[in-house]
Amino acid sequence: MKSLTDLKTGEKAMIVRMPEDALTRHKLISHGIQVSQVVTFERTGWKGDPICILLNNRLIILRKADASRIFVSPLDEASTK
Amino acid sequence: MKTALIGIPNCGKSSLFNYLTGLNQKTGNFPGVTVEKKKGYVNNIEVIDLPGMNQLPPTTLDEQVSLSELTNKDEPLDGVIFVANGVQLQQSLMLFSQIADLGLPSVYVINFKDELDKNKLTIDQSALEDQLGCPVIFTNSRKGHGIDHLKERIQANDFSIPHSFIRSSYDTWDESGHLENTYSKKIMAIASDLTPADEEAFELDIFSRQKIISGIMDKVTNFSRQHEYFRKTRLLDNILLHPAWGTLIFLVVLFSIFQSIYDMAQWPMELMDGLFGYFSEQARTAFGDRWYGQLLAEGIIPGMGGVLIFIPQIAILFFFIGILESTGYMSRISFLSDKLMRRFGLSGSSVIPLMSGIACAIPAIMSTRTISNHKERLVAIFVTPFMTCSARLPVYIILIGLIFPSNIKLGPFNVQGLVLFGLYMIGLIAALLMAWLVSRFILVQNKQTWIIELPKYRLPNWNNIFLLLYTKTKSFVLEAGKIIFIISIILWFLTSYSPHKKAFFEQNETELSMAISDSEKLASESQAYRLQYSYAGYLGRSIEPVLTPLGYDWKIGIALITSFAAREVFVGSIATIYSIGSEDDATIIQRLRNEKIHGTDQPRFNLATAFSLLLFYAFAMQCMSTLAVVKKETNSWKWPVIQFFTMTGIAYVVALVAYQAMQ
Repeated sequence: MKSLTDLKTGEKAMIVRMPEDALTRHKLISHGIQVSQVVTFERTGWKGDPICILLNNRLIILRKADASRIFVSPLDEASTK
Repeated sequence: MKTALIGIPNCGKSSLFNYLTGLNQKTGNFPGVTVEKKKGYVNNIEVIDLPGMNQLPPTTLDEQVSLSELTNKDEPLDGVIFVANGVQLQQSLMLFSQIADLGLPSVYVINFKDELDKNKLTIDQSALEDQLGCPVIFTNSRKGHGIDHLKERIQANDFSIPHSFIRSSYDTWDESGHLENTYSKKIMAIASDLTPADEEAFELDIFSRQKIISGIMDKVTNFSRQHEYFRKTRLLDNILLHPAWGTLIFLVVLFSIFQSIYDMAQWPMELMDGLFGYFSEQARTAFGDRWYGQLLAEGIIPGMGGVLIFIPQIAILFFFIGILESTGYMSRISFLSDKLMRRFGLSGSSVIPLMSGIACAIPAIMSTRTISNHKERLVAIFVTPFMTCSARLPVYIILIGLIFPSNIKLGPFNVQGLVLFGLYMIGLIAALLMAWLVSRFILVQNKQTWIIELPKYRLPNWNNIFLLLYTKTKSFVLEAGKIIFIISIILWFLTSYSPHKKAFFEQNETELSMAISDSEKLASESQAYRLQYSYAGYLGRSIEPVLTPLGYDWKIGIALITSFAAREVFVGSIATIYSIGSEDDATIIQRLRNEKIHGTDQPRFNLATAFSLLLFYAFAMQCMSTLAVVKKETNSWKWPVIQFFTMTGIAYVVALVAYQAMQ
């Protein structure tokens, strides 16, 4: 298990743990970011912040501080095909 | 009959609204809030374009407004037109499932049909209708395909209450033994106060919906080649979101926009200026010195001109904003600039309004509507007038010309140009520092979660862009224009009328005519005398004790009062008060250089006074049009009043320190 910010460009992972605080979690969930969803790490901004992920055919930007509190389990290419 | 369009952001909802209603739409605010309300008509059926929302319960003011409209018991909706981007069906279905559980009659519109076809993605229409329990329609809001079919459905009131998703789990028996559904109550309660127990229940709710939606997706779609959808977008983003190239391209785009605003707006503004000058002249010729002739020629017509002259700048800025938004580049700007803006209590969403302020604060403040965080939007509105707008330019040119002759160079650079650049930098730094300060006062949670979506790149939708120009310009002329118009008339009265009788001025004119033979000089001396003894003149003298520590006399005081209308009025006022017939810059500069402090040989405009004035204009809120727009955008006089006193206070202190230090 690693943080969303630890993923490499193009790497896919399943969300396994969300941030502890309710407000952040609430806001993330409202954009579809929640446990069991599969995300693809797309790119980062200047010095790794903010980050861009692909989720449900949507490119979503979130700040590194929030992304670092989302934990994921990387998926290998074969399991996602 | 009343219907509403709802959908997640970037689903093409507003394009669809524009196609449905055309020019038959009105823009205002939802009651009690500053969230924009767009409503139009399909024949006699009212259609409201509700702000986009991601999911219930709401997390932003826009989403709260949408939920309030959806659950409005006093004026309930007769139908909901739910708009979904076909390619992003899963996220759309999550929101739809929640709206379906509110029990509202609906129609489900799948937009961007062309993109589904292009990506060989299919959605089984009848299977989806069976799953949702309401009509499903395909549209392409970019080309208008399917719109007629949707209009027919709206006119025929062909909405159905969708199947329940998990609505029944919110059924409870009330005290009188009736079955009551508490879903909408629960959602409203969570929206205002999220307790830990609610949070847990809400997450379970979402999880249950997700399972149902996954089942629907499997039954009605062939979505497996998801990544192909963003292939071209990804290639473009490799350049446009590159930390170095992307930033460089962004700066070139911004620079080109501001250059275009200056260049393209110049001739229509000059044309309008000339046209209103001509109308004033005609009114003067037709009505002579009668009071209503003067009111028309010097109050109403210039007042109207003062409003309408901003139209080219507003239209051009919104034209470019429309292109940036409809192509999807606006969100990329937010991505590139968020990290820097965060240090000052803002986010990437505030860059465009701030940069637009270099052209004119009025359209810039109007463009803050793209900022979803309410408090951050207030900060952006508050600090935008610090940016050096084009109206400050004539003032700066006169005052810089007064201090530095044009032939002074510092290496290869012209000193006048360097000072002007320095003033632009002062504006930018002041705006950012003030943003940092204000965000701490009004507690902007800039460390809070900031999530935005990067839409797919698309070609501009010209239909949407021209409707945006039309509605923004109309809104400015009708709403802010009213306030500007009234203040113009008040200023006209103060500068045109005097507590003295006519004979007082006639006697002066007789004395002047004996001393001065040149008729042009006589007229301007006489005009200066009238201004000196007008109500505005008395006002100028009454504030002279406050202005003396800054190095200003009552004449500069009058220019400061009259330029409250607009900064550039300073040039005209100073020209009149120092009895200069023309507004030619060199003449004004020469005359100001020769002006002496009364009873001495000391120049009135020495280095200290000129610098003090420059800094005063760099910080002071000398623009009633901006105040009017701030009032309109914040729906309250509180913010323009705070802004006026804060900026004027800072301007006073900075000008005082500069004058006293240099003196």
